[in-house]
Amino acid sequence: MKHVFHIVIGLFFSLLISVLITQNNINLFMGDADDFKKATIYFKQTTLETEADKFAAEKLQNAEKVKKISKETAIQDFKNTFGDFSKNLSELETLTDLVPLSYEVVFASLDDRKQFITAEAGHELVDEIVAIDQVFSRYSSLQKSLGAFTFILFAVSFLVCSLLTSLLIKNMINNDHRQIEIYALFGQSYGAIVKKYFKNLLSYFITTAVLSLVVVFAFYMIFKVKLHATPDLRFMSDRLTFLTVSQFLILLFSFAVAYFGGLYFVLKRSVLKSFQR
Amino acid sequence: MPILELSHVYKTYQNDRHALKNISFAANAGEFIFLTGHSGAGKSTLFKILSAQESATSGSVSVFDKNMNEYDHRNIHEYRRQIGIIFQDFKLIPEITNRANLAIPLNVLNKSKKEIDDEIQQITDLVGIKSSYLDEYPESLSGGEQQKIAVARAIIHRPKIIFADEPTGNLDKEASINILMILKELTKWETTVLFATHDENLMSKVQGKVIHLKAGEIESTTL
Repeated sequence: MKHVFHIVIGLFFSLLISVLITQNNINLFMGDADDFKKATIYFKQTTLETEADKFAAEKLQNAEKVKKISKETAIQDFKNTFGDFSKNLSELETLTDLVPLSYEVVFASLDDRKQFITAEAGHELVDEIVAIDQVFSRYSSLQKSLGAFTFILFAVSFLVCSLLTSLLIKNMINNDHRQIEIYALFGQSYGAIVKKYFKNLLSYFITTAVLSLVVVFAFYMIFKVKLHATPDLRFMSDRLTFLTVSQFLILLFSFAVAYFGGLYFVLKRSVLKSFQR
Repeated sequence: MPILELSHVYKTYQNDRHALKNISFAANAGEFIFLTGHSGAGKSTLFKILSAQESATSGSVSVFDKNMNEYDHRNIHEYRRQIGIIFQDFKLIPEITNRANLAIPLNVLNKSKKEIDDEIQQITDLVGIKSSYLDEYPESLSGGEQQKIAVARAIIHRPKIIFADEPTGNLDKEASINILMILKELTKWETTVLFATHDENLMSKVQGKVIHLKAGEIESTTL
């Protein structure tokens, strides 16, 4: 019974830690949320810089962040990125005609961004407004689902933990019933008996929590090392984060409440029988 | 001043069975009292009330100048530490050794290991328990030897009152007299003993008050 208890509680604890880690790192794999509130406005080659600036000043007043990428900056970025290949192009002096003036805008919300695109996509100065709508909506629903899943998992874990603790204590006390009764008859205090079970269960709790954490951390490290070994994914490995201290403490505290809550009520009821007349 | 006093005690169970009716008596420190009566006369019920396993339906039970109703689960251990109980069914814990069973009353008093070992040595010599039995488990002993362990456990912490419910039921004549004499000896140190038995031969061996119960009532009291 004790082993089953350790395994099940440990599994729930590990699962919850894993979900929290996934949630911590989801942005790493899916991109930053701000990326999806972003849009890039590419102006037509015929649009003058002053016209573009005026357009931006008028239309992007409510945007969170506006970054102008002049043709010169864009060319420099292009050169930095493509090296020798870009040099040949620039020698031909075709680059200026190829690279448009653009504005990178971070909107306050997704709705703002949508409204802007709908209203301004056909503007005479604008060539194209690029955003990643579909990915964002998929990402958004994934994040919402993960949040809901975490919550449900948390609630289920909480209940399972309380229930299992109650069952374990009940089972322990049923086995020890005769001993408790005899100790009580020879003057063992109610508090001393309850304390003994609390101490035992505390050691089970610490063992289970530490083991779960170690196991999940081991898997996390294996995953991190594997990512690091893949050159294209090395940057992900560097940015991968484990549980934050506050997350771990909240998790531990919630489990402790569920665990010792179950313990307290069952213990109180069961041991009290040996002291009632 | 009596150490134990019962006044008009009644015990009625849920099925309206009256286990005790109008029981009144008192016991002084160092007094030896025999409780006699046939099975079902109320001896065990009386012991259960006196050892705080059950409470009286009405009437008052005062021990050590305190009414038993004043005890609850938070302070009942204070009372139980001052008494010693010998149960009819021994109530030894089968999962632990005889030594550990003997140590229970001392463990609850937080005695050191050395004190416990010394006390166990003294009590086994006094009651006549072979030291080789100490590290065995209760079930490996005969009924008589188990009873000796139960007696030793009840007196190891030098209680002020001993409630002995048929403590010689499984012992031969010689061992029974030995246990009786040990308990009687304790009265010299002001320990009060309530000894339930229906063995009249045994009663003739020591002097003491005899309270005879019949159908839950005191039929007679002999000094």
